[in-house]
Amino acid sequence: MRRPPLVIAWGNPLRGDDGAGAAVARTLGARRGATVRVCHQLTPELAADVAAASRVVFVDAEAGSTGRRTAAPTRRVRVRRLRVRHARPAGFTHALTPEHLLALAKALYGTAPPAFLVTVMGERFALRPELSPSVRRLIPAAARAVARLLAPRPQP
Amino acid sequence: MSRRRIVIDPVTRIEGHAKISVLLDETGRVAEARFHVTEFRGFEKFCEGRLFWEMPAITARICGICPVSHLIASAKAGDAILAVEIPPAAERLRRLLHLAQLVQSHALSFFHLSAPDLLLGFDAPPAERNLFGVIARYPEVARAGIRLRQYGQTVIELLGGRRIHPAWVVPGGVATPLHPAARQQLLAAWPQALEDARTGLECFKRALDAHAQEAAVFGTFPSLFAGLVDGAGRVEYYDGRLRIVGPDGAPLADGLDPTRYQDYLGEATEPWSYLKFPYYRPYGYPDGAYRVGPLARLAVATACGTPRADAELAEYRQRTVRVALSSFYYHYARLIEIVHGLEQIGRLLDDPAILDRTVRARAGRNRHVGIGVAEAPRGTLYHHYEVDDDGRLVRVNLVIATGQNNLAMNRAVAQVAAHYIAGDEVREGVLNRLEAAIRAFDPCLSCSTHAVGAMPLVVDVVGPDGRLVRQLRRDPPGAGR
Repeated sequence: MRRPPLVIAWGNPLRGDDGAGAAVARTLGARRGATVRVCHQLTPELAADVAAASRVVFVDAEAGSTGRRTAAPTRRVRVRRLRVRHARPAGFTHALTPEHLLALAKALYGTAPPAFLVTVMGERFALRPELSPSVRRLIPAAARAVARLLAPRPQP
Repeated sequence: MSRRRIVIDPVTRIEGHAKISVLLDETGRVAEARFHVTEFRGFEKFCEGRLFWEMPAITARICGICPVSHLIASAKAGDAILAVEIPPAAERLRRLLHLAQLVQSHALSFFHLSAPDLLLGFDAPPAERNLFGVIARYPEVARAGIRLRQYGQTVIELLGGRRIHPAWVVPGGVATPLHPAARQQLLAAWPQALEDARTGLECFKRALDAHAQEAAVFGTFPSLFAGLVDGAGRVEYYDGRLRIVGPDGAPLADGLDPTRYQDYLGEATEPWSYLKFPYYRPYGYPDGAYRVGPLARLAVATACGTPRADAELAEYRQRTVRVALSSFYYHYARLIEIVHGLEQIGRLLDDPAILDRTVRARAGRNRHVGIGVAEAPRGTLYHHYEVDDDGRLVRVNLVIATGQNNLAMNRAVAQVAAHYIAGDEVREGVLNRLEAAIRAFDPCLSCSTHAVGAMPLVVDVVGPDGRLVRQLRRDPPGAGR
């Protein structure tokens, strides 16, 4: 049976632009045949979903330097290929990085699919439930980047 | 007099931010030890002025680990303000959600946060003493933990629409009934979840003999215990009456109306912590210290009320006598509660009445005060609201489980410090035991202080002359938020 791709978008929508990942997930909807998960943080049980996927696209907000925040939109949506990270999180509490999640999937289930990280550079992470206007304008571009990665031959 | 201070900041593998300080006298003996909660959130204050209808959704944001507990207590306070009795199916569905929360929260505590210490050893190298180390040595246990978390979260997702902060529980009931397909999905996955719970419990019991010393000193002291019980005196998570027992298990107070908690519970404050110090009023502060949560629930109850959990409870009581006084046994009690929670989930799902489509009672504000009480994974949780004629909150009081264990956690830290620390040489394994004594309570500081970030753990050992004798540093986790 063909394994579906997986999108994991995470962040806190009550912390301004930290909700960019969730906004990208909403824009994607279910149109691409992918499983879409939206969460506040990356927790270990997601490793089972990761291991069951053909590929994984993580979507998050990132805080950049002031200079980069004013850069062209193409530079404010970034795509990176992820590798399994073997360094172990000694002080783990409740949250993991995408690389650690891939390592968990590999260790527990023997497989870690190809994985990518799409980030949207945020401006404001204060307590508020909305994205800043400029970040809102980046969401369609980020969703298109995710959609390209979900295609059979992703081009990061 | 010259003294030295050891500080652990932050305490790791707990929810929220805290530090431990140990003050040594000039002979190197422990003079004092404290558990400080260093974060402040202030939900009680900024909820004022909001409509009580909004409170389940707002207070669920207190915590990403146990949002359902706040949803339940908040909605029950809302029911009281509406002055309605919710439909039977709504109560069943709330119970189902609440139990799923208990299972996934307890699974996180044992399998992900405490298993590295309990299964690999408190003195295992820190680089191995983590979830990956557990996977390497006990892969089936690790997979069982993952599946249990998934099961609990799947229940929450199928009922509430999402895993974190579902807005499905509302004053008057729940927003939507359970879909038959969802019920079938949960029933199909239930046997594996129960098997996984037993895997964890058996694994813990095998490891128990290796931790006799920790069991003896991880907060072992006589105290009071408090928890809800049903009409037959059995463990009750959603409703019931409060029972308070002494260290020998003898009831000091029984059948207490939990909505009248202010009659018998007081709240003290200390200048060195943001966490309040609740106590049993008749005994005063601090003698009225009591413990809540899994250890306390198994202390106050006569039985669990389900066959597998009762069998485990009997064995637990053989190992610990009638009342376990060591906080180390929180782990054991937590694992029994996972079994108990799953058995209750099975019963609820087996009953076709859970599919009834009448799930909400509708009304306007009929009272000015509402108090909702439930047993959260970490202990008894109280939401107390006072509203004006329009239903806007004029006063909010939240009494959180972790706060009620505050005095006990401080005693546990002092006991571990006194047992293991003497002089300047403080091994990493000793620091880990100090943290682990706190972890046994599975405190949720984000809940109880009403944090985000990752600080390094630094322990400074300062000599009598103020000179830094030794510093131990633990790097922050690579985790993002």
